[in-house]
Amino acid sequence: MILFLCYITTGLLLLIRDCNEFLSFCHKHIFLEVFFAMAGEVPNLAESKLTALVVDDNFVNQSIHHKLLDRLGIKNDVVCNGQEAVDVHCSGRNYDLILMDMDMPIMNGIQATKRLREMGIESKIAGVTTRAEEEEVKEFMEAGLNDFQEKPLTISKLVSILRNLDFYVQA
Amino acid sequence: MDTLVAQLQRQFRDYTISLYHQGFLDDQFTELKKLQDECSPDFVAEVVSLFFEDCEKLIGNMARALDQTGNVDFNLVGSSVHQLKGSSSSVGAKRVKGLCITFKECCDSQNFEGCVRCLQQVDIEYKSLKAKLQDLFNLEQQIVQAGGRIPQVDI
Repeated sequence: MILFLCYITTGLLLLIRDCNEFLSFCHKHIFLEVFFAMAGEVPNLAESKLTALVVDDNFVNQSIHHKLLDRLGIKNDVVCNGQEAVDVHCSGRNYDLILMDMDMPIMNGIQATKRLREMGIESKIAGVTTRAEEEEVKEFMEAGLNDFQEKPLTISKLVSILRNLDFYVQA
Repeated sequence: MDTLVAQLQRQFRDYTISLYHQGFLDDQFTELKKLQDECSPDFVAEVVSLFFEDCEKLIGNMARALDQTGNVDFNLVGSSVHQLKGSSSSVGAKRVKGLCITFKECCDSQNFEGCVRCLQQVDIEYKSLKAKLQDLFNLEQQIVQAGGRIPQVDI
């Protein structure tokens, strides 16, 4: 009887663990029947509870990137340079996604990306810059990026980043 | 006979199309319009306003740097040009972006006269765009005040 109860308990615990893992997976991914972006509709990822950090020194780009993420239902913060990005992580904040500009004062995107990786930050980092020379992109990627997009950013480019980084999965 | 709203909407449509056809705006401006919604009905005007503030600041920086006759720091000028190219690209200010590309080439080749010419052109161009977009936003306001909806314009 005791063995039977242990078996049932273990089974239930395994089921709960698997459910939690499944729910955690669903938490970070959105399964959709239709690829909304292709149809011109904007996917709403609010249910995913994704968070993002915009790192850019330019107010125009800050405003646009913040709005793009907002529009997709992704809560996000904005900082003005690489040093602030590092500082915000040192204060204990963490994000699923970081949109990192390259050219910034005080600490640029390459330096900031290297520093964050040295700190053990495993967030997905997407470089977003107007610089598109092969050598420059290579240097940025080698700093520790997971993805790269050329500015200006649009809804479809942002969705592409999310798909490349497995945040956005088509059923 | 057209109502006032229909007349204003047609004027708005024609004016918008002309801004694209004359090269003042490109697709990125359309992308900005897509982000405007009920939660942020003035989003485009706000971003464009930030852009024009950026223009004033950066053009001022370039002018000061070019004023150091005989001791011009072309890297400094180039850095401001690069920033202006970035923000003009982000709002769809096509002509300003195009001028920045030429301007950057003048900086890279340390062509002082070329830089001065480009600076003058960029200054004229951003002010021209500012006036045209103000006219466009005024038309939008007039449509709304007359009880109409701002038409979607397919370019």
